[in-house]
Amino acid sequence: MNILLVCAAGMSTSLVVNKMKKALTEEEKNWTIEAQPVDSLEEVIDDYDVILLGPQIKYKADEINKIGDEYNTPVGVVDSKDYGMGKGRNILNQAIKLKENY
Amino acid sequence: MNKKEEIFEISMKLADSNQDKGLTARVIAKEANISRSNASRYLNELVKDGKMRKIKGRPVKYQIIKSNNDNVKKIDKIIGAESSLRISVQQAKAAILYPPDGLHTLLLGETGVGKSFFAKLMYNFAVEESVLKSGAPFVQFNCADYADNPQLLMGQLFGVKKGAYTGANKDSNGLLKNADGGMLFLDEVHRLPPQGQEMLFTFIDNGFFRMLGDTDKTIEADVKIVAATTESPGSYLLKTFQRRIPMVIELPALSERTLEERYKLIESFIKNEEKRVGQEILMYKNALKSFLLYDCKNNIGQLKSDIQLACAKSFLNYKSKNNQKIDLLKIGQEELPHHVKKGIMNLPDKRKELDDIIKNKSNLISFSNDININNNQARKPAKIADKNYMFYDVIEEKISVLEENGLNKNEISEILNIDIEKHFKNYIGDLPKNFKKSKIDKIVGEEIVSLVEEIFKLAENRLNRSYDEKIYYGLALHLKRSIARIKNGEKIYHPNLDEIRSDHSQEFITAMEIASMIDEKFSLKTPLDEIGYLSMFLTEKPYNYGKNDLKKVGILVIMHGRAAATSMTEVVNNLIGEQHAEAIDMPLAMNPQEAYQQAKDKVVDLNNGGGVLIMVDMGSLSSFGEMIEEETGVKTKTITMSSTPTILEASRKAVLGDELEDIIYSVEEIGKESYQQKFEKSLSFGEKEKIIDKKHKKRLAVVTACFTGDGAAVKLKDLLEEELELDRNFSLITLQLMNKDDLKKEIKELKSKYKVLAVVGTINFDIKDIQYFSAADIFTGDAINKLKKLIDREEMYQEMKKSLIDQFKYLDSFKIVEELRDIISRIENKLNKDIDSGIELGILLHMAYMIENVLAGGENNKFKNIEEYSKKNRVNLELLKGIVNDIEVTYNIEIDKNELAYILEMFQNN
Repeated sequence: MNILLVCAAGMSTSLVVNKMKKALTEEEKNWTIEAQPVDSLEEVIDDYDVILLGPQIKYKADEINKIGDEYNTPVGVVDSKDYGMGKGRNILNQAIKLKENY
Repeated sequence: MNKKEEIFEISMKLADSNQDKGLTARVIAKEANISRSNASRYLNELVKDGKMRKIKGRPVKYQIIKSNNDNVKKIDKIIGAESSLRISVQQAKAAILYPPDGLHTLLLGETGVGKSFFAKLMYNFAVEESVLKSGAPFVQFNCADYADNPQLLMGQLFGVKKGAYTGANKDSNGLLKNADGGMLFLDEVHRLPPQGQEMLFTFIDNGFFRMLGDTDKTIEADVKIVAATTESPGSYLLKTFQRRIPMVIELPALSERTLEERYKLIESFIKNEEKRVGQEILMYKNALKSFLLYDCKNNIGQLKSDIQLACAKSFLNYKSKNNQKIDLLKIGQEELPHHVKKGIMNLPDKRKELDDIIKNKSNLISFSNDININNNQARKPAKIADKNYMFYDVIEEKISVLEENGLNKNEISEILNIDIEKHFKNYIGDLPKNFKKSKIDKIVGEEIVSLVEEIFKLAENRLNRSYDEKIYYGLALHLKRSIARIKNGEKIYHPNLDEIRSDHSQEFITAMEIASMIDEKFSLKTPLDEIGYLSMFLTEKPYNYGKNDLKKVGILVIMHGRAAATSMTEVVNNLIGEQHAEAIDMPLAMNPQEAYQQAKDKVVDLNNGGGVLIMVDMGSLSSFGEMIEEETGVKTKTITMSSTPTILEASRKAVLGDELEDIIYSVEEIGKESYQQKFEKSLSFGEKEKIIDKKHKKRLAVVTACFTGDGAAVKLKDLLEEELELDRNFSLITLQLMNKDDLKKEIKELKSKYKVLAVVGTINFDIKDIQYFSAADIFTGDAINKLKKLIDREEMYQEMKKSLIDQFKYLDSFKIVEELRDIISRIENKLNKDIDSGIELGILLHMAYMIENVLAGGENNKFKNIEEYSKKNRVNLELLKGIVNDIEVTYNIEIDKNELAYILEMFQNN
């Protein structure tokens, strides 16, 4: 699965990306997890299966949901507690659920 | 490798052994074990590929083409050829290839940047390019060697006609003639006397010169001159040279070169030593950091000798502790010379570059990819140990060289006199000033340490003077070497024995006494020449203090309390590795008059011409500096509120020779905390966490308080315990008080141990940063949720701080989180926004990474339509800018308008 994290300028998500990568299980090792600034989303969205937003750009959720619909890709806002504490596994689970329920 | 390549390889090998005269297909076929026709097929293919050529004749021979392209020149392999030496290398090539005969060249650069090495490379290049014949002479001459004796120097250079002066009893060719058809490298050419310069210029202009004492016969020589000097560009002397020598090549100082290059230099020096020792040498990461960062004033030359010294110490440790535990040669902090060790303190300046080099290195670094080295443990006891204590060997070597050149005893003695004094000064001049006695015995052994101690006790007695640790160390090293030498029956020679005997008769007599001590202890017979050397160690000024020493700013720490100043100073001096700072303790009972008198005396004592910096804690002490300056005329400045980090910074700068004003500036510049931080950064993860835990990770606490007797506090506590489901990191504290003022006092006390989040109770109060909930609100349940949220949030931040540890290179995660929380709440206030705590958290992370990015020198993010956005939100951006300014000041950064726009957008739209 390819997961894209999106935040204002692609900054804060690098922590989360690191923590998520660490939390990958053996079977998930080949997953791609990357961070991108929100502005470049449309250029890269094709490469990903799930889009996660940093809580600080929750306000953009509607806009991004629309893009997600266009490309058939689920979009979600990362739980802010998990985000701040870098709970990589929780966020991965969130992504898996988003994908499953889409 | 395919067959064709194999054939090519074989041809190369064979070509080497037959001087490249060409090879027949038969020879190659035999070597490759294939048929002759096959061989010639491959050879013809190689000819087609342009890798070989045919030589006509019977049988046809094949020859390897040495093209310029696939044969990389040595000069292109010099470390830095691709980066900081790129232009120098180009210039050098141009100088050699310039038609018709190349250009004479002037090399500029500080001591030790590698001018000689570079000249040799130029020579090699000239040979490779067939500008010079292979085997053409490369003659090297250092004009400083005989600068005190112009006559001798000129004789060396231009040759002497028989009878030119007393003692010149036959013609002798000069070096210029010896270099005919080759290259003459004149080092320190600025030391050439004017007369010699004139002669050199004549030669440069006309291609001929005259021997000393010869007025009519001119001698012609075809010599390419490469002159080198440490003079700075633009000096008067240099201008004369530049007029005559058109090609000027500057070699950069080590400090101007990249860390990557420095690393490669270190690597190559270590590899050299490995070859000499015949064993792999490993280096600890911290030692590598020190080597990469220390102030290496004398450039590559010094770097090399410091590495050699470290290797030698490592080797000695390895040899002397010949137990099984130490089975490898390792260089750690212990093996480093003091001034190198201090390098690690320069850590923050080049962190980024440093990280790039060391990030993938393990704690113990191996430079060698040659496994053979290690298998070969039983090789002869390497000469490396001598190499750095080569005091005698140099002299002996010189004697034989000079004898070969036909100089007589007197001349040799005169030349060596210059050499020896120079060497002697270098020999001890280089040593760290305060070498800890405990550390010498590791190098020279206990026996010698105690002997040296006895020697100086005796000498101090006899000669009525005292010796410092530096000379102590010098003699210890010297004896270690000379005793071994005497035992081995090797000769010791002192060229100025008679002079020493007459000029320093007192010392000589004492040295004789010392010699008999040595003889007895080691049962040997100290020769007279060695006694000459011993005498030199005992003279009043065995070495000159460096000029810098005279001007170093003194540091005087004065603090209230019985031992505060002493203990802080001790810590600092230990860290610096030099007893530079001095302390005066001022117990409360001591009256200020007395303290002042002491301070005044100390200041006068400490002043070396650079002034004294007084570092005090508070109060009346702060005015001492001015008063002392008025009274004594010694430049004295005072810094108040001093702490260990600030004293450390001041001492460090002072030891490095910075001026008083600069020291004050950098101490003030340094935030007390940010300095502390730098030290934490160099600790391992585990250590770091521990320290941070101690410092920042106070337990969270909620206080319940009531007046004694009304019992509300206990009830509140029970209720909260039930409601809040607290974890182990949380404390509920009950206070029962007599009056309201006590509460503030108690809270203050608690704050040193806990992070007090809120006070719940019947006593209404107001303390910054602590929320108050009334007991009534709690009992009715209204406040419980608020309190819960408050705690949740706090716990979340604690967790976040922990998860951020080691995510940053430049930021302290605990510190930045606290700072940003403050900033964010101020922004919310100004913008009149109440933002959900989860989003706050996201913004905080964003800002932290943004600051880290700025510190790392990363690129700015571009905000879409920034101009338009700025115009529209001018007022809010100004407000934001005002608040963020605190961060900018703390971290000495500038936050770009694009970044501000991102931040503002997050606040506004959420």
